[in-house]
Amino acid sequence: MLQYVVRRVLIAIPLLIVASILTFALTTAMGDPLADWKLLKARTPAEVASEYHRIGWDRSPPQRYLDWAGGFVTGDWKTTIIPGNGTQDVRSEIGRALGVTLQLVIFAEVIALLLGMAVGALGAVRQYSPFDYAATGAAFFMFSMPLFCVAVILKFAGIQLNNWLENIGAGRWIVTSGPPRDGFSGGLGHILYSYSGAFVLPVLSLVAIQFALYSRFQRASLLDTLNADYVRTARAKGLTPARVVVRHALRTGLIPVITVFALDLGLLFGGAIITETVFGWRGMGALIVDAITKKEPWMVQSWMMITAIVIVAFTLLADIVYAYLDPRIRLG
Amino acid sequence: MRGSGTWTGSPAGTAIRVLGLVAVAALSLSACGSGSGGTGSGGGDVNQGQDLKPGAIGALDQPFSRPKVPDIGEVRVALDEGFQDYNNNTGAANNIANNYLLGLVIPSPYFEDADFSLKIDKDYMESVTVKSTTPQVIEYRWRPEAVWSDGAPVGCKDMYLAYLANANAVIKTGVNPFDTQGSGFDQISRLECSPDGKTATVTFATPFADWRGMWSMVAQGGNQLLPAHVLEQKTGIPDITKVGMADSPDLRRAAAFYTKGWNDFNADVDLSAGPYLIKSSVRNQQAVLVRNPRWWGNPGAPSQIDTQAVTDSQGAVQALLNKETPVIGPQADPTIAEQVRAGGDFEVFARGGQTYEHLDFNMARPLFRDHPELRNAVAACINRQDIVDKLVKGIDPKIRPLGAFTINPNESGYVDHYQGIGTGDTAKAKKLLEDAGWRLGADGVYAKGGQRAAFSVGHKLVDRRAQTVQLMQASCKPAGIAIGDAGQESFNDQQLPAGDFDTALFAWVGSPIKSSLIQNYVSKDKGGVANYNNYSNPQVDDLLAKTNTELDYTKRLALFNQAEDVMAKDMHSIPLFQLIDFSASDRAYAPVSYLLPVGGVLWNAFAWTKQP
Amino acid sequence: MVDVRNPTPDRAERDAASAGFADSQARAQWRTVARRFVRHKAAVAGMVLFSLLLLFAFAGPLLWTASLDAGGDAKIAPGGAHPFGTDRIGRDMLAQVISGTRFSLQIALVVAVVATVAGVVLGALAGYLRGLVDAAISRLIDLLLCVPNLVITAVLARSTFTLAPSVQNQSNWLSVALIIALFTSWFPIARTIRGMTLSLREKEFVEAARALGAPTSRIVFRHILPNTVDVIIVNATVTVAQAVLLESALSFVNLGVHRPEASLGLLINENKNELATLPWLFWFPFVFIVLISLSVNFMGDGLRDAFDPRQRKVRE
Repeated sequence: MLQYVVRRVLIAIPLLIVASILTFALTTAMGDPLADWKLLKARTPAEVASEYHRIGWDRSPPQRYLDWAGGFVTGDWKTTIIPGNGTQDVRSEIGRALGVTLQLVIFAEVIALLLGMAVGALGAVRQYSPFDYAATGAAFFMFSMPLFCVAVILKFAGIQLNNWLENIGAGRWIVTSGPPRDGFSGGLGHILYSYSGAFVLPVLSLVAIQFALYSRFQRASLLDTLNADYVRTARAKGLTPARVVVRHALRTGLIPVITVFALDLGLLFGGAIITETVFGWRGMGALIVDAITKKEPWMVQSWMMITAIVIVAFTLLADIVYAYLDPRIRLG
Repeated sequence: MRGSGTWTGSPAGTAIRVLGLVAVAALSLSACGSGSGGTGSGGGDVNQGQDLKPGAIGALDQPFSRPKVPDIGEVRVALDEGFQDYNNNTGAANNIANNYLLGLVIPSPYFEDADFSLKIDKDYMESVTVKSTTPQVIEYRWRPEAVWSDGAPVGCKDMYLAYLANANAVIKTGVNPFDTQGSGFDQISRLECSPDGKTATVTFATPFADWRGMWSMVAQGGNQLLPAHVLEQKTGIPDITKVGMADSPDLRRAAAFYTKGWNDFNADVDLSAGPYLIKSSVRNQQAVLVRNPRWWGNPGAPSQIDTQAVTDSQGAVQALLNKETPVIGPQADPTIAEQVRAGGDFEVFARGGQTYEHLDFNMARPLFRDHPELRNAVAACINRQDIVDKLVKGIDPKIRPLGAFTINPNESGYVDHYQGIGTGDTAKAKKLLEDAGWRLGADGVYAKGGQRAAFSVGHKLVDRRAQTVQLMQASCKPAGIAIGDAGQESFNDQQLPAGDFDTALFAWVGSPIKSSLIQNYVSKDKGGVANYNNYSNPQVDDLLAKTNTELDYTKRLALFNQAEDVMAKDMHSIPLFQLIDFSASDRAYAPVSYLLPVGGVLWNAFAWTKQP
Repeated sequence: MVDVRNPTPDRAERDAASAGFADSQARAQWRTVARRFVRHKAAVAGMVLFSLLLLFAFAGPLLWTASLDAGGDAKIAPGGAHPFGTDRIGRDMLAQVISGTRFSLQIALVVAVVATVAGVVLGALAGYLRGLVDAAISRLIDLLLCVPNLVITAVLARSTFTLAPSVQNQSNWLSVALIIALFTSWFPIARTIRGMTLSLREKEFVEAARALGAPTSRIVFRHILPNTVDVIIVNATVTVAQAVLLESALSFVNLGVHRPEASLGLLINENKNELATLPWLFWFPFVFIVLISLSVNFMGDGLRDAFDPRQRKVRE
């Protein structure tokens, strides 16, 4: 097992190096970071040259890449460099944003995964039952909606709900503009109340999409296993259906779901762009939109790199879990 | 007209008579204070702003001071962009979003009031006096109580630093180490400080008409006063007023601190001399203002102002409707405004502001350069009233098509130079073209000498602009003029400055400091660095150049109107409408409104009141 | 390794025989598939709905001749002369939705075709040739998977060499379609086909063909890919649904199609703030985008079931 893990990690390293070069090429293609600054007013060549020197653009792209890569592995991710954008430390900014986004994403993923697996499994066991049809219909419906529409509609509905809650004297529970800035305080009840109020809408909008995916995968893979020979044998031997499902089928049926979970991470980071924009959270999504708009090269570069690392790490983790769960895969 | 409306002007209601420019503005403190005080009574629109009688010509130099108001506690405010840098003077930092907060923090001899007039800020100044016009000599006397939040006096030294930064001789030799662009400073021949440091006497070598903007927040870029004593402490320069204009190690040291030391936010060096001071800031996300304990004037109403950047207007409106944020200053469109008005418990402020949308013909392209009749035909076939009705009226029901570039309808001296232009008059457009020899082609488009009356409109991808183009297309099609949509995300950054367009649809930000507009309209070789559509008329160049030295305000406005007249005849650009200054608030708060270039929705935050 | 002991018939003869056999067998198989598909009620409903949508989009302009241009009465609620109402600048919303549906479908179909062709060819090459080609293609997919595609497209859009729209913004829907196809949609298909090819290339009939000296292209296109046709069809169907949604996500970040070519995604995005004010401007395009996606997803589900011989009811 250890050997397998080590080998997989070693494969991931060259992949990440190539990814860093590719992302660097993309970032470089965004163009001259000083383009907007130079348009602000007429400047002397000496001014322009000194500004290029300040941001390190007097060096060739390969040199800049090596500069950045050397800094990145040693923890110096450089700062924002566009004039007027200050000199924010890229690493601490990404760290902060990643924290915000992970809170959202983990919440949403756990709920979606549990809900999806439960509904999917039930749908598979009761295939073609009214429940199955309803679940399938619901999943397909959610599948077919653009994420930003879900977010926009949810937000609209949330405010209506608040108006209604206030009318019956329950106060305004749902918050539409991000988490409380000073953190959560007060008694446990109050913390729960304000915490759930801040999270419910963005989490729900991410769940809506992911839930559909997981429930469909769980249903399909459980159907596959239920039809597999060893499960039939177990059934033929007279085991109760519940026992067959839980003991034999569910474990194998989990595998594809785990894989999807890992592969989906990229989708979720992309989805965060939309969710965070609509709900005013300042996470990874908001950060990259801002950085791309301002053409902030090191922010964009390190953002893409850290996302790549997270995604590759999760894929790796999924492979390992996969190997662990599936007795048919031999390690070595 | 609901609401008390007292924010519009002095409660005494007596306009100071036209005294001309040489008016000695040392008026008593008590007479006409409270430019923006007053109590609002809640509900509905306070957009009476459009009815506002512009400050009478020459009514400049009235006094202003902050009113006495009750404490209203903490207020949350959503801004469309967050606070970034304390020193907004450098070209690298300059951003309107910094001015939202800095208006409550930075001392300034002149204060821009709601009617866009410049008033002497009596909280800071004993007097601002024009001592002589030939040569132009202005005397600034600061109040003895005026201090920075560390107790050091505000005064001549701070003015000298701005002078040094904007006018130092190194600029003329090439590099400006201070990276500032304040105008007028290089025309100063002498700046003398009194021994107590509270009086500055400024002598100009050549007259500078926009002198009121100097050292004032309203003129932006380079004019913001900074605590010079902090720079002295940090650089070890014993007296900044002894640093000369010529290149020297001290000058370089001062410049180095000036451009770097006041970036971002750092409570140690970013002092306040206003009613509020910045307590904390997370760059471009949130910033907190609290009352300045050293403030000597009437204390501001909110005990704390909690600002949050909400870039998405819809997000800001929903935060208001959901009662999370009681005051918002978003970029408005009709949808935004309608939602707030339908919400019931909210008050809306909407008024045509300083920013104006217009359509420029590229005068370097033969199609427009050689065919004034085509420019006039386009100006006839587009329907400005219809565009305003559909795209702007939903925000401000009183807005009308715009009639000038350099003076806005809410300012004194405004004249509509485009009456009868852009009324969707198909017959007139066709006649103009046919009289000049254009013939309608088989494709329904006029043509003459191998050229078709067909062109595209370049613009940044903004819904409102795409809709404007569609309305133009629809109303000009029957007139045999084909308009295409060349909207691009990068238009304002790339195609526009490069002059790469047939016609361009975009907005300029106007200002009470009129000299900033001149570069948009004078010929390129006369300093028209922002003259993107290559317009050139020696008469306009001449008139606009004169406005820069005309010290008589009434005569100056007449010069602007003459230049506008010539431009209207040339029809190189069609003014469409003012963008709307917009703010909305919970009905309990009043009088919340919006003003640029200083403050935005926060411009009069010190005077807000709250009903229990 | 392959040792073909049996004498083989003349190649042409064998091909003809196998082709004939395959033909009749295939016909029988397709009939089975069709029968299963028809029994899948949701799938049939999806297909009918999708056909109606195609008709709506492409034949709609013949029946509904209202102009797409601005200038009519603005903000009219649905009913009478304007079944879907009009927007703030007086455009007929039904005409907008018809044209939007057309652009959305055009984009989705182009994406499906391009992504399927690219994915199938690259996946099959990787799976069949293995070695360096496989490594290159697989790593490329890994690379593209490890940065969110919305971000890649956004960065590209900020770049100087973007597929810039022509002066009049004509045909920018095509560049949007190509961006979606090249940066997102082809690699799920490529991965699946690669996996299938890897196992198919070890099958006897492929080994036989190889032993006979058939060229690579012939083996891949004639022997391997026909066995993956079910997967290809299902994947292509799902791609249509995904492309419609992706295009709307691109519109959300201002990278979708531009006027005058309004897709449903652009229409929704332009009107996403109208829910409280002129709600029909949001709901009509929204319903149509959901209908497209829903009908295609149901069709795909039906096809998957119909192709899968193992699909049987677990409990009778």
